[in-house]
Amino acid sequence: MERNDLGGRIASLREARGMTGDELGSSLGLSRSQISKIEHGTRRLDVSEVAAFADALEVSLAELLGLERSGSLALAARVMAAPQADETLPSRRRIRQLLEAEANLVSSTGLRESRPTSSGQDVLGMIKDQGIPSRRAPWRDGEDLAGLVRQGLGLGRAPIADVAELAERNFGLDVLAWPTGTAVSGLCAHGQGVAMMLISTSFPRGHQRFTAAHELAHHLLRDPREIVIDSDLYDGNNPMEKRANAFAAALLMPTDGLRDVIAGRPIDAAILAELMRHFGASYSALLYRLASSGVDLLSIQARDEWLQKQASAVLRAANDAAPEELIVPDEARRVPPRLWRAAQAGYQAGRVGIGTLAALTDEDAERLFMRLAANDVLPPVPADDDLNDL
Amino acid sequence: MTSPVPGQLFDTCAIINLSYCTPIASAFRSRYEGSAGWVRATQAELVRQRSRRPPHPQAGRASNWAAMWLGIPIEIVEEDLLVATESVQRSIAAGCSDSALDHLGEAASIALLASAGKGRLISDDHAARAECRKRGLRASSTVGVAAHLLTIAGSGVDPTMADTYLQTLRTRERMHAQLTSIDLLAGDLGAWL
Repeated sequence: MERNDLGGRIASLREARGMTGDELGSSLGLSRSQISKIEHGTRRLDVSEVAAFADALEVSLAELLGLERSGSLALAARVMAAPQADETLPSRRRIRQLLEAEANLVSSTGLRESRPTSSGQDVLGMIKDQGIPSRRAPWRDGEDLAGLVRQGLGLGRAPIADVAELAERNFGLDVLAWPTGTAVSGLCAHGQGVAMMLISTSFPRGHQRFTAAHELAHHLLRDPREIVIDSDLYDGNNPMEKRANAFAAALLMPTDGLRDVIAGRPIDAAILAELMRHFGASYSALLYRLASSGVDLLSIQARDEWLQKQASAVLRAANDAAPEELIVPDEARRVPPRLWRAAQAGYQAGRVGIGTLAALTDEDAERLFMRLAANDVLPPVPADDDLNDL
Repeated sequence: MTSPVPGQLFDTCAIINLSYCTPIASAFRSRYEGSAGWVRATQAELVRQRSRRPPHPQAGRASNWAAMWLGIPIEIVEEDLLVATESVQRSIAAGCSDSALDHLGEAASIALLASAGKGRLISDDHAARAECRKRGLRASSTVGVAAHLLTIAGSGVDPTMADTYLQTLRTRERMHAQLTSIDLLAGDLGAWL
């Protein structure tokens, strides 16, 4: 029978990894007989030794101690599960910081989970009623889903100013935008009582907006994967990804809105530049949208010809005043306001330490302290410390 | 059984910082030897920093200096203290640890102080001091202790020594604030309170 004490857990994890006592011992500078004593509970371990065992067995300290995790902490642990190190690691690390910071805020300030607004609830209800996702072509689901969101939130055919804010306000998602590199466009992590998305701002703004809408689709459709890491948004063999892409395109660039702006004019560089600016769309996403089924404002052949040109060349040809705004990554940094407000209030009340704030902003704690102090945001002075013991 | 808790528990970054500046390190040692201590997790952090690639340039010297006067490091082996240490570590690090050993010295020290309900953490980790105070415990940075010693006649710490220490911390990129002994005497420590 498996023993549920520290030694028993070490033995189980070692065996699950196919390691011998010798192999585990050699990675920790211990003999096989010492490992045996530890596994049988005849030698107790200092916390630093327990941590060293956790590292050697590639589990967290919590897991080795047999601690149950739920909500944000469980999700944070799963975000960091295998593979240990790959190109997605910076994005996974960043979302883990946020998830663990949120867990700290919940325990120290009583922060409650974010919930959809009544309009957001209505949209979620309509999605369920209409049986989306369905067995139809994914693009049809995506189009219909975008229509439901626009209808439910009263967006009409207007451009969406801030996709992150829309997702947060209406659907209870926390959105982190951060320059995490170009290996991952976006990441959606959602579970019981927690939902977060990460948008990499190492891409141009249009790409960021498309990513945000794409990740929102994963959440609205209750993608059964708790953690969805999107490295290449356009890698479209997975129906869930195709659905999310169709949703993002239709949400950001509604057909009626496109027709309004084009107003019957022939598509040229100036119109494309105008559409990119109006809808905050990337060049390629716009071209695919214009040529997509049901929109049909551009032929497939014309789309492919335009795709041969660089966005910068098209914007220059259109005499766009500031093309770099559309094609250069802004590397913006956005922390979910709900979490930042709770952290700052808790900090000023002495319930939240500077470490949690530093995790939210991924910043050196001393520099952050100075930045906040310059704006008169300070923790309370420690009470009852007369230093007499020193 | 965990040993009795000393009056002051020094953590990893405090030990490293003090070890950079011999005069202030000597002043601390002469005042607190016998009442101060450290935990084994702190010693383990120093050993790890010394043996990693590239090694921390000061970790070996810091570890040796601590071993000379802080006594035998306190082991934490009780199940409840192990669990408490994990909880403190998570609060301090908030998703910033890639190893179970990160911030472990600070966390184990705080868990030990919390279990004893007395003693003071001496730490230059701002998040660790905040966490300590959040739990109703006393905490000071090495700069805070130096500021206190400046006000005590015969402590061995004078403004010149304090300024040397502050400048050393900046030179070693362990401090960003432009504090001086005047700030310390005024009790204006900023993040280093």
